Amino acid sequence: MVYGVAIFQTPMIAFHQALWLVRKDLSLHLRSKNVLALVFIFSLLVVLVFNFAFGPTPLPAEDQGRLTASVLWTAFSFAGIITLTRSIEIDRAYGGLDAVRLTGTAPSLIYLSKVVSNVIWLTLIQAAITPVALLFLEALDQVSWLSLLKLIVVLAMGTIGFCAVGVILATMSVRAGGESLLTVILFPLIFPVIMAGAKCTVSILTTSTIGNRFWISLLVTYSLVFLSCSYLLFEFVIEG
Amino acid sequence: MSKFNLITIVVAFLTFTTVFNITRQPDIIVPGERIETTVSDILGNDTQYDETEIQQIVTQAIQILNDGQSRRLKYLISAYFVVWLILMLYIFHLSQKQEQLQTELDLLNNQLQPDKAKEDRKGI
Amino acid sequence: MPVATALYVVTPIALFAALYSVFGYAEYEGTMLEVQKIFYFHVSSAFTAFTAFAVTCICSIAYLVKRCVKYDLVAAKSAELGLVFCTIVLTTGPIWARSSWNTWWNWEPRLTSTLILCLTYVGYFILRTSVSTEQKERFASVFGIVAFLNVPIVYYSVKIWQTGGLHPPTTTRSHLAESMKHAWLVSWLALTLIYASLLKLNIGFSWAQYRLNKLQARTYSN
Repeated sequence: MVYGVAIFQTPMIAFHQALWLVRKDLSLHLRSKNVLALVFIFSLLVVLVFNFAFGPTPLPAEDQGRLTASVLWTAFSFAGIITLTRSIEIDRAYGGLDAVRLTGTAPSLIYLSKVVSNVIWLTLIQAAITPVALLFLEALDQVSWLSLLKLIVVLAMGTIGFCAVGVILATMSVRAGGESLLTVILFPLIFPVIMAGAKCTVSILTTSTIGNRFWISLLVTYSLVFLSCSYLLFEFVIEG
Repeated sequence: MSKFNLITIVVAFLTFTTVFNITRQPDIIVPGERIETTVSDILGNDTQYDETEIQQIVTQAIQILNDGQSRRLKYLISAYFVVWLILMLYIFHLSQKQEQLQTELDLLNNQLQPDKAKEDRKGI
Repeated sequence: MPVATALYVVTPIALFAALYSVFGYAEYEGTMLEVQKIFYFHVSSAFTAFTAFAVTCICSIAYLVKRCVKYDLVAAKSAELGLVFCTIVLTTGPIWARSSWNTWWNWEPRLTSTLILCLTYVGYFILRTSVSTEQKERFASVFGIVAFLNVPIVYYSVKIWQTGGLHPPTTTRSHLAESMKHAWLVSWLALTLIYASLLKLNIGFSWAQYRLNKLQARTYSN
């Protein structure tokens, strides 16, 4: 709580610290190429499994949209879980987190930079995977550049909500069960994000519009609520 | 002892459920004369209505309501049984916890003062 | 102690009163007839589960502020009871749905959000059991707060999702007769009392267990 005040006193220093932390996390992400490969292969496998189940004959447009939405969100949820766990595991394994804390950085700042770096990284991965997944699902021709951009924006917004909860839960679960524990405790909490994101995705793929505004506002509200809540609570997770 | 309790709870539940699913609650059958008298009681002596037609409609309505009753009661009773079963199992879980506590207490007591522990057990 | 005794005396009386008012006092509902009587314990259980999770959230906050193990104990036991009442909701719900609408699961928003709630708190216990002792209380408290914040969001999103999102959600709650309202209130009271007395019992056991474990640790380390 004391640190929270300190941030307001010296916003420039805090901003600088956060920037360096984000840089550190991103370079860690860049260096762990095996995780990147894992996430890519995993997402492709999900696409293949869904495609086998729905058969070689193309579906009607709306069903195709639904199928694509479910494939994308399943792939990204698991990709997100893998990425988050690895990102925090690497930090812990070599004492990076302890070192950062020894410099006197506020815990909430560590949390925020972790969320920012993971959102940037996951969005990049999603932006790369989405066209490939659409290609395999034979939906690439029907999607214009504009709606592809919209799709990636929606995915990024979902990722913010996902990481807001995911970072704090992953920090808890790396000490115990790793990915399997994170999957069990994170999924019930991010149902609203998946629901809203999937609905937006379906409407972008079928009508090229965002559709019902409620879903977008849900994504924003969810992200804000959990960002602020976890911002306050992160201190308790990494102490000791 | 605790396993016996659990078995009792489950067996009681299964027995009740099977009994209620096997036995069929007999429908309420209202005899024709009774319907006739009731209808004429309600209508009074003014015979402007077609009495037999009204009687037929009333009989049909009663039949329709009766038909589903056995089924509805089964659902109602199974729902309340489920509530009972879940609470019972939870209480069983509590009693098991208490027994475990007792055992651990005995062990510790034994460790600390072996002579006294024997006397305590005699007291029980 | 007298409070606990009063609780144990009042609870069976309230339960009896609830059963009487449900089966002997409340009138039959027009279309569902007997089956509608599932409503009283079904909905009251849902409310009780919600109360239990709220208690978990409050005690989690209290733990993080005061760092007293007893708060964490109450939070954990309350969540356990919340799961018990959630199970009641999730089993009586399908029975009711099957008998009234001829389907086991109709994705009704309240039932669906109860399912998600149940899964969330199962996660709470998985987290508790898989983390080592010194961090268990802190982690569980943080999770308890986050999980409870999620409840209203899940409820509204499922509601909008179920109504298709195009129409404004309409209240589908059928109008309750006076006698039904009374019977429902009495059964709600009864279930809340059952919750309270079971919580009291369970906290007593767990507190004894905690102290015993400490004593054991001290004895065996000597």
